Amino acid sequence: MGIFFKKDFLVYWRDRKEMMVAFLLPIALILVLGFTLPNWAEDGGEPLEIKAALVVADSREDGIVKFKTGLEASPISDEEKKALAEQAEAIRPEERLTELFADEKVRSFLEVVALDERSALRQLEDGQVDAVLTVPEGYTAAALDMLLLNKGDGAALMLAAEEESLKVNVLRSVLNGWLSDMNHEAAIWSAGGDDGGDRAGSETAGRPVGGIERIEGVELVGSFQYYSLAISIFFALSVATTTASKAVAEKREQVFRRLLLAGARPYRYLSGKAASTFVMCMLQMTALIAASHFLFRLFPGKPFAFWAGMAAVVFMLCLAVAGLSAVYTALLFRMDNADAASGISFILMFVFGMIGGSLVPLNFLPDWVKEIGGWTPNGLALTSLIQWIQGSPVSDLRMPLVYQGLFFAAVMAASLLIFPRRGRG
Amino acid sequence: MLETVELRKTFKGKTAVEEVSLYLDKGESVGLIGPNGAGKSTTISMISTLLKPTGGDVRLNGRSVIKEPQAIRKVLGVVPQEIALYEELSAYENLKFFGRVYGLRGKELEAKIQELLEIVGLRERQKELIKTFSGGMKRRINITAALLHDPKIVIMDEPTVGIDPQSRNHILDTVRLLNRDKGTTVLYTSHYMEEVEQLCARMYVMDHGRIIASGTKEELQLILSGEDTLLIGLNRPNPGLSADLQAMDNVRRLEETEQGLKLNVLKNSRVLPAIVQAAERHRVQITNIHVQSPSLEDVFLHLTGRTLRD
Repeated sequence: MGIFFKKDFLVYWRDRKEMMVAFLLPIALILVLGFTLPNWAEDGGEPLEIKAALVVADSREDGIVKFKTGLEASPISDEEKKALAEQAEAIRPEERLTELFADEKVRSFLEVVALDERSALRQLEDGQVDAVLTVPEGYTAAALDMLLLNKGDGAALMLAAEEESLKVNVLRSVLNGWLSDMNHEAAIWSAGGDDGGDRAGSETAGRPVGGIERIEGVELVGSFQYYSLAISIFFALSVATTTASKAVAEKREQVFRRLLLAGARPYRYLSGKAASTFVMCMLQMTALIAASHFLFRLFPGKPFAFWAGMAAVVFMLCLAVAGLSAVYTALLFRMDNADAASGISFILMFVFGMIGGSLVPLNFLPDWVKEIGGWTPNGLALTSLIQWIQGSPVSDLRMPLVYQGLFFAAVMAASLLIFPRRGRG
Repeated sequence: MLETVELRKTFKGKTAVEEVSLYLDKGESVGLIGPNGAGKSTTISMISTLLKPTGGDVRLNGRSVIKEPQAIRKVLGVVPQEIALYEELSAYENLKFFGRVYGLRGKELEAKIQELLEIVGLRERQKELIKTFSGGMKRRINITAALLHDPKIVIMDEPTVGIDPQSRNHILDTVRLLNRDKGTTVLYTSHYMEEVEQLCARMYVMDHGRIIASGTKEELQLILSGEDTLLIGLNRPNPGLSADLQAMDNVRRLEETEQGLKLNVLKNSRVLPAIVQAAERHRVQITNIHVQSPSLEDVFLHLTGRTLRD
């Protein structure tokens, strides 16, 4: 396969016109679309609608009683005890949570329904809610102990979900932001308070009243980000079509007959096509995303893990495109009319580009088109990358990556079946 | 060494090759001539196992290559009519690629490439891309690519079409070298009769998918042994004169040429006085007359009714 790969890659690489089209045209398109249609692609993904169940297992009254009981046993003066008890009455963390969920902006994407624990878990299991947020028993007492007495480990909200998802991440992020605000306010309140505040001490100010695992929140996808990905992916698809068009020349100019005469096996020939397409596709995608990143500052300050996720999606997309190049090539050798076969590959490229969101932003497409487009290699890659940018967890990438791998295996097998045997005709 | 036995090929009910039987002995150089569409390329494709025959067989040393295609692949080199090379690769890269496909490696391949480039006179230009080469240079590399694996039999399909005299000479020298010095068996097809006459000891004439004649040059010329060829120079063309001469009993064929007329007449038919009289009648001056034996071109025209380049 190596010699076929080298040949195909050199043939590709030395076609200056093709190289210009592959590397410069996409950049020009990203530039033009990014500046002229900046709002076309903004928030191009699915509108976010999160539904969560709120289970309140805590009793504020019981919590205050428990706090006061603990306070009685403390080795402080009665005056201090009285002051702290008054402060405890004034602090209402669960009310602040209710206020958060009532906020208009939060309500636009997050619907919270109060349920008992059993109903909440059943709805979670049935998929009626995305997550269950529980205010556990003893939450108030633990929060007050930490805040006013600097005692205990603090209080934590509990978030349960069937699986990690973008929605769960967003909910975590929202709660995280809220807790951060709460901690900040509590720190200011403690530092500026009376004796009780002094007792809470600076140590408490720097520590959270409650806690929750920190996860990156959702990010909006900007127009340059969207166009950079969509156009790069579309041009990646075009690599498969270009490979097929070069095979047309091989067929027309009888080079392929010479290969057959030399005893070349179809699988070696097709593997060479697939391998060179894969490498070309990887080079093109890497160059385009890197160039766009530096030109338009697409993903500033992103960690290594982010780039690794991007690389994984691009790798598997290129594998799928490589498979497509093999099946297009096999098709044109099967069909008597090579130009017709080449035409089919061009049409498929545009259809895939259209329904997969590469040519028209996803938010412009009807749901049923998006549904179908989601199964195209480019559509799946684009959706995965957008979700990845928005902060989707690694587990969300697993299915698309496996699908692209299966797609590659299926089309490679199909190409070997379609490819005509020697001596046909 | 190689023979076809009643080879037949039909495409969608249309017969392209009809019961073609030919043979090549070891070390022979054989010509296969015929006008466009005669079925030469189809026959070559079947011999080289690229095309499956509808009927008949191709045998190499008595063994069917239809049943055992691998047997012929190792010993056969085919020079296609088209320039079957990668334009974006250099001459060296093309040869290295095809050599590797043939299973050659390392020093053996390198030595073979350099040897063949020396023979076709392109060693100094091996690093240049094929697309920068002239048509003749491309054809020379096209031949070289078919010789990398030292084939025992070489089939050349119109290897000199549309090239400059220098490249043509190189190619003809290469064929001679292969055949005479290396003992390679050659099947050579061409539109140029003089090439076939120079290179081939025997030849087959094909037309409409059939072999219509075969033999050595002398044997084929015997087909027209009862005729002479007259080349008549005229001061001006005259359709009336041509019509009168064509109507004469002893004139078999008449062809108008740039200089005048070419007539195939029955041997010893004493037609010259009648020709001179006809010219006087039409007030046309005869500038010269040559009498010669019929050429292979004449034989071909006689057999097919067409010239080789039709």
